[in-house]
Amino acid sequence: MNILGRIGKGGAVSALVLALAIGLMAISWTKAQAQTAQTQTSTKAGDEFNGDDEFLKSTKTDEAAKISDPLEPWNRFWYEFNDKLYFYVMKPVAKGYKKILPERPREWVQNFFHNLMFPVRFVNCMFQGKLFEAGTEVSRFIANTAFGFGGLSRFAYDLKPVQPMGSTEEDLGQTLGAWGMGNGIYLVWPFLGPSTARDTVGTVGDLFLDPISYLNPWYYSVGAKSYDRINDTSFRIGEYETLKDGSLEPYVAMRDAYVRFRVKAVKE
Amino acid sequence: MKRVLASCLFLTLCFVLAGPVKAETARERLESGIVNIQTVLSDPKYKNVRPKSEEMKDKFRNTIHTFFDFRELSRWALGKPWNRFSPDEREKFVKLFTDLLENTYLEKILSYDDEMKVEYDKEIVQKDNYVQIDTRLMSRNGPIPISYSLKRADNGQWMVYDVNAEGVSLVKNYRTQFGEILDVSTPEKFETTKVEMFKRLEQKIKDVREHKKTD
Repeated sequence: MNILGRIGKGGAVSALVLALAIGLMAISWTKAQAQTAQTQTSTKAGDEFNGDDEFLKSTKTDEAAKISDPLEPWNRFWYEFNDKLYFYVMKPVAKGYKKILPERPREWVQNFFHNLMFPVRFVNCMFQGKLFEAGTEVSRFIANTAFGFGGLSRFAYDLKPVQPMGSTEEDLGQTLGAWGMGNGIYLVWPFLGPSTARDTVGTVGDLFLDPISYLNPWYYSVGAKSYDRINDTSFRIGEYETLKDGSLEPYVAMRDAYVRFRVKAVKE
Repeated sequence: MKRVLASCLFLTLCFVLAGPVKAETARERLESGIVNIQTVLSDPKYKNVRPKSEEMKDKFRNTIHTFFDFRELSRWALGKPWNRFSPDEREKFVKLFTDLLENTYLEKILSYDDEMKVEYDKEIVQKDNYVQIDTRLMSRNGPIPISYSLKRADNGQWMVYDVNAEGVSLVKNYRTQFGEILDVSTPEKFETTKVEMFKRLEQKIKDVREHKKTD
């Protein structure tokens, strides 16, 4: 009462200040109300999964979790084989190779093989109707081959495309997936590693587009492919180890990771 | 008169300062978390030093814990069986699972000395309290797509509960593995496989530690 009386005498400024104070008070009160309302709804979901729709949705739409693996014993056998192959052959060789050859030349080798696989990427971009991506692959291939020392440099890959672009890393397995073919069963191949029925068909089909397959005699192409693998491994030492160390079921972890990776690749 | 004005001003200030602090958005939270991680990693005191000191590892771990909710992450990684765990079992599981991740994936991050830029792409609001943020880690061998899933906790703070690299979700990958070990068909089988799961988790952590000593 006293305050109001004084305001009457005091003039506009203090009234304004008081109005401001009340206004702010009201705003902060509604905000606080809104916040408590929010916490209330989120505690309702609680600690349980029942009623946690986000979780239920993620399990329902999880197509990767549903991969069928009827040949599991057979696949596990080859998984163990590849595991030994990695630790006893690939890793020591790649480690020694890494010591001899510095990072730069190893990158050139990687770029060279990547450039060589251009027909696979181009044809599969076309098959999936990704015309802009296919065109970009052509210009990158020409630029890297002509001005990048036969593909040793990947400078054209680092240039930003003029419009946003999807992935150009396409293969036949992804094309078949994009056309609606499912994964089929999970398969592990010796030397090649995890695959599925669909991706196996894709890998074989892509061999026809891979220039290295046309090397004559056949062991030249096997040699070139193996060298590509060793070179690639020299950049990835430690990745498989982390996955294996971190998982309780390395075989299952690998299968799950492979299928998820491919599901995403098909979507892109 | 002056006193009234002063008290009004004081009141105003009080409300301005005491009003609820504007909550951080999910994006701001993630960004500051990643920046803090990068600061620890690129600290000249620790950079290019091998092996990494315990001091640095602690600092790194604490920074991760400021924006990763390991309890939530463990809950999602376990999936539905979480509902059937007792509170004690849940605590034990969270502790062991966090231990495992710290000794494997987090240790792995410590080994990267390269400074990598992070580009932020899309933000997908999945529900009021769930957001997925797509980023690209610009490594020398090209960008690596990494998405973070964040959930708003009861206190209004956004916390990461899943990381997805190249389409492979961390929690879903583990959920598949735990699903392989836990048999939920009958209560008896669930009990025995649960004991088995804890045993394997403990053994794994022991193995990883041994492994590191000999490496």
